[in-house]
Amino acid sequence: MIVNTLCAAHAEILRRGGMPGDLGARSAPEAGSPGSGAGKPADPWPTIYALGARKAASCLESAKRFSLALDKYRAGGKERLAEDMREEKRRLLKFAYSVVAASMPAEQVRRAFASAGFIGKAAPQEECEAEILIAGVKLALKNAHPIVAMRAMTAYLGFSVFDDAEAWILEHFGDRRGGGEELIIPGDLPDMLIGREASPGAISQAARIAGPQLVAACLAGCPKEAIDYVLSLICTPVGAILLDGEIRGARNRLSSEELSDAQSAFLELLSSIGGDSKPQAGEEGQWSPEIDRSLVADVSALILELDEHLLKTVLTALDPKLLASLMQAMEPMAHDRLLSTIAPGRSRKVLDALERAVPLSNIELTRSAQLFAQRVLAELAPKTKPFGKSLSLPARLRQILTSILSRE
Amino acid sequence: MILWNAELTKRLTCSEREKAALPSLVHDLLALSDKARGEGVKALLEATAGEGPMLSYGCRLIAEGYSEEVLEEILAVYLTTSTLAGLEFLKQCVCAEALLGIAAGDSRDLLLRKLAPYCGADKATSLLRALDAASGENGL
Repeated sequence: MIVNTLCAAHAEILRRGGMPGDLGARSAPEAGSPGSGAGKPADPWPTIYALGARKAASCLESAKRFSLALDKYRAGGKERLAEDMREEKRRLLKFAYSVVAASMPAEQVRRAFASAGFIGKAAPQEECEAEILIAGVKLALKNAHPIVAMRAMTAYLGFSVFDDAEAWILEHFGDRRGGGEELIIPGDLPDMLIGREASPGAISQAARIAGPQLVAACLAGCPKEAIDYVLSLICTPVGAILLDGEIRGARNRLSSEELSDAQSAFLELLSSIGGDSKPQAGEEGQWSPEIDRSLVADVSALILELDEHLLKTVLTALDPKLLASLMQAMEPMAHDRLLSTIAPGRSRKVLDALERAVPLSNIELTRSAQLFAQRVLAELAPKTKPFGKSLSLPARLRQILTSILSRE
Repeated sequence: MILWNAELTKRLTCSEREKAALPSLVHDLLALSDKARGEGVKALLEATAGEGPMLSYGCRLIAEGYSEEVLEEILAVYLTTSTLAGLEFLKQCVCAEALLGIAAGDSRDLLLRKLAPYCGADKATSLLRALDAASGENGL
């Protein structure tokens, strides 16, 4: 309920007796306040601060400078912040940076500003800039993105600066979009997104329920085409910058198994929302119902069991199309090993072939697996092996190869 | 637990007669949430483009994808620092509550249960009875 947050905000921002006396009347903005003046429409959302144009511009400038400093701090740590602190002339901003550098608990930030005399001396309406920076510092201490801090800080200036803040965000952070290595965790979700099998409404709803972190985790293993499609459905350009950053973070932070789990969770959510989406949710949905799970287990085990040099030799000798069909009978962990073993250029060819491939039958999958197993055996066999002597293989490897090759 | 603040209570105060305008606002907000569920958040941006600042900018904040906690903080700052009071302030609080529900992907029923109390005890009860009756008709 927003009432609780409003209670806290009233207690903090307006404090006791801090309510301006003329509340209730939608008074016209004072001359020179943002959005007022000749030829400009009246401020759609007058604030209690009733700032003049110069003061409002100064507050907005502080929010921008703080956001940029926060961005540098996130990238370069306290040393970068110390540079900004040294160069900063304004006491309030300098103090804000020092509070961030001190890494104090967010709950103590307001008290720190009060102790330093930046709030509590004048009427609440006079302390807009300090409130803006308190909001920014609290978010910085929670490791928030500078865009989040910018939006939270500029809320004190009303909606009249909303568009200006957005333009500034896009100008300074817009180039953060895209980039980064594409990572593809094969599964039902990317296929479903690319195939437009779920309605935009269902995807949008599932994304809101899932929250940004789960959405980022599930998109982190999807091809660029699928990511761009989802972002176009659920985000404005500002939101896309934020989510793109989260996606890159998820790729660095999470294992492929966790990304695969996130995809499954999102699929399950999509299917529970229903609509005209037709996802195959849950663990059962990971594979088509008729797929031979023991074959998948054997092929995956073989990929994971082989030493790197041997695996690389075998994979290099095989056609990308065969590797793509083999990947249809493999668990995510084995996908990872296969793709990380071959050269990036070749890995793209395999993924392209995988994208174009149609789902294979169990017989076709078995044939691909057997071709692969035979190639492994050929590499394992010593070139000068005396005829008639059995090949010496580790027991586990022998068992997997036998299991694959003995299938009919 | 629901907190209480004297200043906020004073600011939200309006007459029962004024509150009579709220059920229709709640219906409009429920329609908006239906649109979000059916057509996605981008459709919301178009639908609210000509609406008041809280709804139109609020929907843009939803589409920027902030966490619920951050979105709630931002909306609370807009409300607290506004010059609004009385019915107009109460209406904007209801809009903010609806925006949070839409952002969280709340179902229509849940959203109604969150918004109805703003209409006052009697109207909230009748809104919820209507909801229960509709659920019964639908075999829910």
